[in-house]
Amino acid sequence: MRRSLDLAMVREVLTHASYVMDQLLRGFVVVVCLLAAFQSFATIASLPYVENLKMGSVITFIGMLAYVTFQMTSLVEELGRGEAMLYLAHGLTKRCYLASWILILCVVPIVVFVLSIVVPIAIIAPSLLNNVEIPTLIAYTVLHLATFSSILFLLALSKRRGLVVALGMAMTFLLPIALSLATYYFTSLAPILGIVCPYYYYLTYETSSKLRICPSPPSIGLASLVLTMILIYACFVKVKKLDV
Amino acid sequence: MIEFVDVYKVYKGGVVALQGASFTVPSGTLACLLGPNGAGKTTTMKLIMGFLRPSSGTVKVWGLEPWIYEKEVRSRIGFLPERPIYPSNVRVYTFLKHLANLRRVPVSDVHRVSKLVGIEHLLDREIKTLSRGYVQRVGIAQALLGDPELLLLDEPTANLDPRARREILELVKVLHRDLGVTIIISSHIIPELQEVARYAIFIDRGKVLDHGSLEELARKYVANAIYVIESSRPRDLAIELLKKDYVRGIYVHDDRVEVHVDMDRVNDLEEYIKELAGRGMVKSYSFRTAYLGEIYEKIVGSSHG
Ligand SMILES: Nc1ncnc2c1ncn2[C@@H]1O[C@H](COP(=O)(O)OP(=O)(O)OP(=O)(O)O)[C@@H](O)[C@H]1O
Ligand SMILES: [Mg+2]
Repeated sequence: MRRSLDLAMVREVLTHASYVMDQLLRGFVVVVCLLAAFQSFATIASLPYVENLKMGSVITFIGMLAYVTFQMTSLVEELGRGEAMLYLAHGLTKRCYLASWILILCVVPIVVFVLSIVVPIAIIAPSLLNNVEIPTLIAYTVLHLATFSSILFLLALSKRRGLVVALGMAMTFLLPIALSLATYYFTSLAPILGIVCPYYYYLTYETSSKLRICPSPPSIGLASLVLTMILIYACFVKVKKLDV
Repeated sequence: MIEFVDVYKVYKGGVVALQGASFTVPSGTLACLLGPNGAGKTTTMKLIMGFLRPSSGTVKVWGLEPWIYEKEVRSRIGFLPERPIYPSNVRVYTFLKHLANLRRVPVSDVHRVSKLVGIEHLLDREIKTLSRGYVQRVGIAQALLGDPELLLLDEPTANLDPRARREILELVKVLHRDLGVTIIISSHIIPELQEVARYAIFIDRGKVLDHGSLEELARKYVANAIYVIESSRPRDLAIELLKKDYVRGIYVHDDRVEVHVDMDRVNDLEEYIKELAGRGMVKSYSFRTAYLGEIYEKIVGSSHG
């Protein structure tokens, strides 16, 4: 039963997402806003040097990833407890249920993060937005967040709380270290790791000449875009088959 | 209206919760789903909701497979889950309002159902601050949102005090009688179901042992029907009744006569009682239906034997 995305579904997703954010994840909203505020200061402080901005954003970015991981466990818990049944019982389809969680734990962090970079620049130094490096930076962070959360979503739908936390933390904190180690010792491994962390790969590529022999960040970015799309598709297939 | 044909459900990990369950529930009835712990009652309800996919066999509700037509089927069902799985730090009102939104019924319905189950004074409280009994009422309230045609109540009286139990059962009766809602209740408390159920499904270890209207089942499993007749001349009445060959036993308590009769001759007895009433010997009479427990023992008990 494939139905095109119609307005009723969009309404359903938005209704549920705003309920979850208002009621269940108030803390999430607060933390995301704090991170955004922090990032806005970092953006302002690093202007007009785009290099500084690229590096400075890593801190908030890591915070964002860690926090998404943490909140992903509320989805696992909701599924495990059976709370999802309540919403599904009232006509929310499984697909829309998943979509509202994707909206909360993936789209919202992305939008907030992007805004916290773009808005300060637009106010203080709008001319910098024409600098090609800023959209590039944004593109990689967006891709990175999307890949990251789609991997976690797939695990969350298997109700594997421990795995979600372990892999989420590993991808947040260990992956940058693994990537720089790979750059020096197993250079051929670096692009493979890069697919699940395109932003880190982009930064490493910019700063390390060792990676010059590896695929360029845009081609890795493309690979991770494809991976993300496959993962999200897999999530929707999985949620359809899920016993709640 | 609900039809299970040879349904198997095997959970991940290999637990076989249903093995070849077949039964039907006609529209407009008040059915009870009876069976010991782990029999597969909750699994059956979740299959009706389409939360689970049958491993094999077919489940149909209004001719649709709930697993596939999730939205169509669920929008017509009210469901009370077995466990209190409600979000804890949400206000009752916000919670019910959200569900009403999802169901696309006006917010005024939240007030209607809250009143119906007696929680209108608690709408501003967070769910975690409510006692278990009131949480259960919140659950029943959400099941009633949008006037569903079918109500699935998985142990609705669990955690309720005796008075609340009575209130809820009274409410169930009213919904069934006045609004014609089809209701399926699972419960362990047979005496209380006795008062409301018209239909029963007996399930044990994943198998449906028997199902049908209480009259049918009684005819099959209960040897004697019991009538209680009120009379101003109980002794004379007893003597009259003893003349009939289908009367199996008579007990007189004050002005009441308890008559045991062959199940397949109840019509003859009823005719005779009416005749006696015409002669002024009978004030009133009632059919004592308290044999759900007996049927349960015969069906489920023997399967364990
Ligand atoms: N999610 C699950 N995963 C694995 N096994 C399950 C799951 N849910 C139920 N079971 C098993 O399936 C069987 C039937 O369970 P079910 O909950 O349907 O029984 P029930 O009749 O509702 O019991 P109770 O009266 O205790 O509520 C049990 O053996 C139970 O352990
Ligand atoms: Mg149960």
